Amino acid sequence: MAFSPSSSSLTGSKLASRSNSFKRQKSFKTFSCRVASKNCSGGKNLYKVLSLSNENASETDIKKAYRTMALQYHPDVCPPSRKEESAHLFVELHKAYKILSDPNSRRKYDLELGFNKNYQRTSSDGVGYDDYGISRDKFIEQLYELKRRSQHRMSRKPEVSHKR
Amino acid sequence: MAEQAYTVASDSETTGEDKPTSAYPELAIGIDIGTSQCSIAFWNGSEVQLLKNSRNQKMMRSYVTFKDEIPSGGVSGHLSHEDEMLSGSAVFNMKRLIGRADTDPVVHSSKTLPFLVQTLNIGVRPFIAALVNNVWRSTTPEEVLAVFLVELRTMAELQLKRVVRNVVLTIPVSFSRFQLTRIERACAMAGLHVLRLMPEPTSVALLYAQQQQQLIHDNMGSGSEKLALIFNMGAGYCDVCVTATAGGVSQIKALSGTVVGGEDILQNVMRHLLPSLDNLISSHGLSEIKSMALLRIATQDAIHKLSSQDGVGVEVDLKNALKINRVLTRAEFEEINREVFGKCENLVRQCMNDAKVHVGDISDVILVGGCSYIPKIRSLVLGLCNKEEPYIGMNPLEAAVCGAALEGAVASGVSDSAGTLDLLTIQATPLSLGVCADGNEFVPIIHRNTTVPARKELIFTTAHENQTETLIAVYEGEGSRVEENHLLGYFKLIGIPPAPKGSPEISICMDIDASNVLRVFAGILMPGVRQPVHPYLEVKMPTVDDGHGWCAEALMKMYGSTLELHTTRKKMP
Repeated sequence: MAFSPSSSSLTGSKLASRSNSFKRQKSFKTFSCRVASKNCSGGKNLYKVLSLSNENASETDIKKAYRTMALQYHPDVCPPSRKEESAHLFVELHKAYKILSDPNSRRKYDLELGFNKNYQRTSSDGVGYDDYGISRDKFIEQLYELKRRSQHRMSRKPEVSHKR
Repeated sequence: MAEQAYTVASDSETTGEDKPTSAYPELAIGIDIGTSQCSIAFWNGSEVQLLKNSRNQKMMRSYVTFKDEIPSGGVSGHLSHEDEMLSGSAVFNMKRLIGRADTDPVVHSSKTLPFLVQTLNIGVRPFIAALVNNVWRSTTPEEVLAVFLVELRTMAELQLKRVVRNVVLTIPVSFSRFQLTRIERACAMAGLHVLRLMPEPTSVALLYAQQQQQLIHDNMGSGSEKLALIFNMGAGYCDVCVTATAGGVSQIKALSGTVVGGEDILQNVMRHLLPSLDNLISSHGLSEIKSMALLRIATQDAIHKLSSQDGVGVEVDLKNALKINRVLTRAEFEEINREVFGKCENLVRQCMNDAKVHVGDISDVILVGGCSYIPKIRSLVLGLCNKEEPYIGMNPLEAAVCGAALEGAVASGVSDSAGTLDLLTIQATPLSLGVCADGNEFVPIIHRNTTVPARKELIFTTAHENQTETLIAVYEGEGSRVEENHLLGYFKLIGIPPAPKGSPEISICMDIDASNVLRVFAGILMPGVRQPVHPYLEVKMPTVDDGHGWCAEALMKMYGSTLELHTTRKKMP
């Protein structure tokens, strides 16, 4: 099998060009992880990967869809000639399932999906904005967290000084 | 193709490449080679059927006797007496020995066996020999296994009246990828093509999935997802698995396993009954072997009886002025094997923890393997899962081989109109796979219990200024230091453009394909450049052959930290 540049390697080089600026910023660790996970699904709608018609699918629907798809596309049940192709398909399928079956990652994904939908209407380069969308989401989240912490500190400070 | 790749061919001599050319290969049979017993099963068109040998046995002893010029195995061989197997001329327990270096404690504990096991403690394969006409003749675990497999194959071909080539074999969870290549090698020597190597509990999981489907068919099941804990303990290994099953699909959520089993229990009891056991072993004289054989048989018998009795009288004359005449109680038995039971408990806890399941969510506890008859094991596992009774409906000794036969049918593309074979086990890697970086640290790239097929990438960097080459040493295991894990192979990545340390990006990608083959891809990326500096390197693992203990040490001695890799802590999925 030749090294297929379609998914991971491209992601690798993309990350390589992007990630230098973030190298020493530990807080972006999870961020770069998320970007990559998105890119690996090739920017496809994860609900569509699982053959789900809409984003309101229940957890049971997602599990069921994953199983039904697995019974069709898992390399173990495919003829040898289609093994490589089905292995690739299954890896995508499992990635989609992993993100959508976990309520936390699904919520994040849904947010991104909503954001990108609004953004892509005015954009020609979907992928670039994809990344931007996620970073913005993460950025806002971190901003709120910082705000919350500083408020927490602020509210405690007078107490401490009183005690002294 | 944007990126050109070149492949570094593996030096492993297994037959992974010669796949059958037809769209669907012939029906594969399932084989369960146990440390002590073995069985063979196939899909007969409507159900799984176990084959019986000429003595009408479904379970055959796993051993090979080197009595005459031609070795003969336990499939067809008639033993005049049990102690003939223990006379030194028969080699058994090969599943415990295969693919292990002579530094392995498991190899050392095998020195209590009647045949010869010698070690030099330097990381090479142990010397194994059987007594033939008063001469110790050397052999290898692969050879012994191959002889045994040839007999199994002949038996199956005679009964099925066709050529048997494709097999699904069950293996312990804790087997390293190097050990898997040894199993494949033995199969190749026996003219068999391995279609799948299934960790034993995952094969049981497939049988469970089929039984659950059957229940729905009979309008007795709910069809909702069920979590099951499978505990499998035989003579050599203990495995645990947590699986989520629905619609004929069994998703393996976690696997754990270690090399602990009935053999360890047996040795503990033997040592308890005869504290001077080690003196007896060291000489390996003929009369000592005979004494050991007698002790082994008496101990085995006592352990079996203790599964149904509270105490058992052990009375045996071992000759050499050694006599045993005493009562062994179940409490005593449980006390001397406390460590074994402790290991089992840890495996169950670890597996449930890894699977992120709560005890209350487990619907069924499936106990299989010979040791599942031991009352202490039953109560221990059931207690940990908060269950009164184990799952019924599976023969503890036949479950693994039945699952393998089902997998054989599914993987061969057999389907029936009733949909009985619309089954699938979605496997997970039992051991983490990674590379050596940051000194002697093991950095996993594919973590254990990752669903396979899988592909993961991690970015590393150089450890020194203007470093132009780096050594990529691939390991498998759970230890945080590389020394604690199995070395699978190594290769050098050269031509890194001179740059400050920490700036070149070394991408290492691991890929486990549909046939469970592991490939490692490595390439160099420079900041601001989209294309890799050189073509990627693709290496099929494992590349190590025997003597891998030497390799790791030699690498360290030769290169030390000069070719070191550093992690950049940037994860890729």
